[in-house]
Amino acid sequence: MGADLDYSKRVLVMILWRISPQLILLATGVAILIADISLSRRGRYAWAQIVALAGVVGATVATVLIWGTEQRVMYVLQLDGFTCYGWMLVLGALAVLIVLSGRYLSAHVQERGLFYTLLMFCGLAAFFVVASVNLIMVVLALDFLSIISYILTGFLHEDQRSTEAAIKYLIYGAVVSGLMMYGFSWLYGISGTTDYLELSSALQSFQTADASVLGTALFPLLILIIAGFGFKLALVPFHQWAPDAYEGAPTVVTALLAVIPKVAGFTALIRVIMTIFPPRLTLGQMLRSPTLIVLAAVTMTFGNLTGLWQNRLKRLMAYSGIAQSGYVLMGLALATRSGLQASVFQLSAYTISELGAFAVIVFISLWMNSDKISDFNGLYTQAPLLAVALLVSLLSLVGIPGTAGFIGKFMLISAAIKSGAFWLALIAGINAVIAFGYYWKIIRALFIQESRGLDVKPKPSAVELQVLAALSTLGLVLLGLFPSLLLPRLNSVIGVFFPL
Amino acid sequence: MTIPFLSILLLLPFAGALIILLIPKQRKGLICTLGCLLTLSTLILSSYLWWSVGVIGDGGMLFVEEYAWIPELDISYSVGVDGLSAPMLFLTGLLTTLALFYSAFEVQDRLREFFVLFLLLETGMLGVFVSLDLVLFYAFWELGLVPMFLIIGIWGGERREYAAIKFFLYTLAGSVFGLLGILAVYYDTGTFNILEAAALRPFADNLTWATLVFWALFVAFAIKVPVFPFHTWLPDAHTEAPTAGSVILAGILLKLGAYGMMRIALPFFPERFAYFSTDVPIITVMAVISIVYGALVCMAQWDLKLLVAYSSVAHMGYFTLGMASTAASWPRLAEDLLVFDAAASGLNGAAMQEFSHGVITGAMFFLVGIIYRRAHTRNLKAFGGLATQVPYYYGITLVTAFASLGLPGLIGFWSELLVFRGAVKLVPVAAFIGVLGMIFTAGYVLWKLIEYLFLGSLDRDRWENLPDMVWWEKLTLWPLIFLMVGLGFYPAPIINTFNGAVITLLEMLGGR
Repeated sequence: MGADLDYSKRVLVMILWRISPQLILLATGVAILIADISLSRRGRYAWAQIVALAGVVGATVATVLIWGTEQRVMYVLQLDGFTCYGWMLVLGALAVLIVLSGRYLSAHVQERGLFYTLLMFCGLAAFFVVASVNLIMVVLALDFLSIISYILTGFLHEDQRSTEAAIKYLIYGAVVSGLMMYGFSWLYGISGTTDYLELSSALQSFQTADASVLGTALFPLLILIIAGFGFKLALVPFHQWAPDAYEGAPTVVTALLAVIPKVAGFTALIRVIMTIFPPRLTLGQMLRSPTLIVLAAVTMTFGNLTGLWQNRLKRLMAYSGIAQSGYVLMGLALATRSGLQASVFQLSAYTISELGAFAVIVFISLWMNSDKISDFNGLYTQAPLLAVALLVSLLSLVGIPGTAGFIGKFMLISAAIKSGAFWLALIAGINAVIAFGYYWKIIRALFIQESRGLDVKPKPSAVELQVLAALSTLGLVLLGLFPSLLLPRLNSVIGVFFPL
Repeated sequence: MTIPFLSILLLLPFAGALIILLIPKQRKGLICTLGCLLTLSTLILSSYLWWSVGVIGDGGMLFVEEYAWIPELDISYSVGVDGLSAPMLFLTGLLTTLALFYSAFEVQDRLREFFVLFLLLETGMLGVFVSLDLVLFYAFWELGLVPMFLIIGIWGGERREYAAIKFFLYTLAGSVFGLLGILAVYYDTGTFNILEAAALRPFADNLTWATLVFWALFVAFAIKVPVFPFHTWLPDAHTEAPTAGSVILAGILLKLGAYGMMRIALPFFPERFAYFSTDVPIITVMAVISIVYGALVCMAQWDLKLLVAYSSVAHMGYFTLGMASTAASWPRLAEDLLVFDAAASGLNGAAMQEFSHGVITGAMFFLVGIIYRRAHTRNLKAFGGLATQVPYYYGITLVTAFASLGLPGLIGFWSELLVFRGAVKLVPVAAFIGVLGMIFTAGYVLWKLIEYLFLGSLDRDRWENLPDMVWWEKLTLWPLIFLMVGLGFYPAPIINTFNGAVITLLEMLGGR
């Protein structure tokens, strides 16, 4: 009797240890919430920022400590190298967002404690999305993440555009979430399970029974599932929310929308594709080609072409983000080892570029209270460091050598050619040229045009934003020149899906 | 331990750019001195490299360095220099030095940034000429793109923004094709090393793929050269760029494409290059059109800078003709000694044209910049009779103009002679039509350039106070004039250097 108790206690401790990063985020969020309610609302909220940052650091330490264990936790979460890598990306983004938001919030918002609580919960939701290996869990986690995103998008409730953006985002998200859930119910209906691995073997046994019937019958199912993920990742044609939400949301939330749903959505999608629909299934092959390959090509082309007509920076970043999703999707669609590695590298490079770019954009929004591209005019003469940082971020998004974005694109195109998808490689390449057509608008504003107000208004003294911009530049160049710092690690991270 | 000369050569301008970035921008004197000294040191180093290749070279690669760079992707940092690249390194060092020296006096606005971008640009250009790894080549190729884009965009003329973005998009589009080609070659041969891949002959047994990949690479380079009909970015970029920018654009950047054709397109796909030069002579036709059309367009120009810009299209047409004739020799290269001789002549001519056009057109753009700064117009109709007003300028321009039309005794003569010596034997029809271009060239040089600028009657009210060249302008031009005349009378140093590498290349192609 005593031994059993001892055993179950040990199991409990073990489980708590495995989910400690989540627990830390949860505890931090709740702590900030309680403190916020009980303390005076007139405070400077620096404490909330510090507590949130401490929570992220704690979660990072916990993640590093459990890195390397490969284990199912509580039946619905999978802990492995891939999960931990996804978590690290989320945590890095969270840390940057916390630092990024301090000054912006004090200029615009009263309820700052709540913001950090939501940020922690957003991280928590993303953690669940990254780790889940169960249909119900992944739906819940995605919805959790979506709901927090809606709230954050509408966080400036005195600003009509912010509210409007949140409503649009919400309505669109609710519909798509319903679609995905319907798709999952089909999967459950035919297999009787919600577990990824069991689903996969169920599909496998169907395939041996009658492949052709299964293929045609289940094709709509794929579309439904892709719609769910496509919404989070802003893949065309599920992208319509993105420009409005990006534009209306508070700029720091736009930064969040640009990275966290993408990191979470892509890691989850990679897991779905590689475990439920591995390439050996006919259904898996149908999912990859033509579905995902066409989706990738359409997404990047549409995103870039539409980006050409934008004059507001946040909208432009939305379209650029759509196009970048298309690139990352390329590697997933190929589903080869090199393709996935390229996708994850590109996703990481994208995250760094976006955060660096948004550090500068937030800085400008503090300075000029605007997101028109013409308000960036002459930034180089006023703040050279920021201008160069934004330039490097944009060049990385284009994929110019010397930046991490180049290595990512190089690996993606290389993987496509290796798999024989030459036309996909060609489209990806041509897209880099189109993309430069609009990034050029920003570069022209930064370096060529005369300033229009930057020289008159006082420059905000946001040292932390400059440091973030400099760090992201450094990171992009470092990864661009020495990608070997990351590649061996990625190889083992991706190795999870390629058991020897 | 051997000294890693090439890495030092690449590091000098790059580190220099970073150092200059740290100097306060008010200290213009320090910035200029340091910048010019840095480029001068690359010039000295590249002269040493050229000398070494000329003296101890056996036609192979020298000063080779090879380190794993991104082993996961099979990419290495491998560099080397041979007869094809050594003179181009020298030319890069020389023109960059002169351009920076000239700009130290001309550029007023944002001088520090100008120098930083120029040094980065030089790193990229030198890097392309020494790369032995395809990805490294590509990386350096693109590295030069962004600085040049900003140089045109920030310091250019009135339509600078349009010209800058056009330049960038064209070149980027070209290099995208190049990247796809490089990767296709990699998956066929299993190596990114340029020499190894050339020895393995990518896609030798798959005609469709060979054609596709050949054209991908060819177009990437043809846009840069530029070969008609890919030349339309050039007039805008060359005309709108600041003087130093035009000098480097025409002097070096075009040669990157030319060098790529020699180093990559021809050795990788000699069979396809030959096929499209003779059986389906697209390349030969494009070369001839570039020559004749380019020269005819020059005749119709009234803007001096635009005229010089279009003359680049015509002159690089000779280069392409040289390449086409060499490629045409390929099927008979191994058995027929006369054919081999003609091919060597064509390739030497093409290489020589790279160099001599760089020297001549570099000088030409300096001269345009000099007159424009004084007169604030480039309209040829506004001038006339300047010969007596600015005799020094007249003299220098005369030498450069005659070098441009290929007068014996000046450097341009040798490259054209060698190109046509090869072309007459190998692509006779094209050679015959191409010679027309030489006549037109003489036409626009004598008629447009000399007559409208210098001869006739002087508009005294307008140009009476037009000053002649000052010391730093003279100092900028003299090295170029010295090269035109010196190598014009005694071309052996450069031809011998080129020839060593050309023979090696042709022997490799012909399988001797």
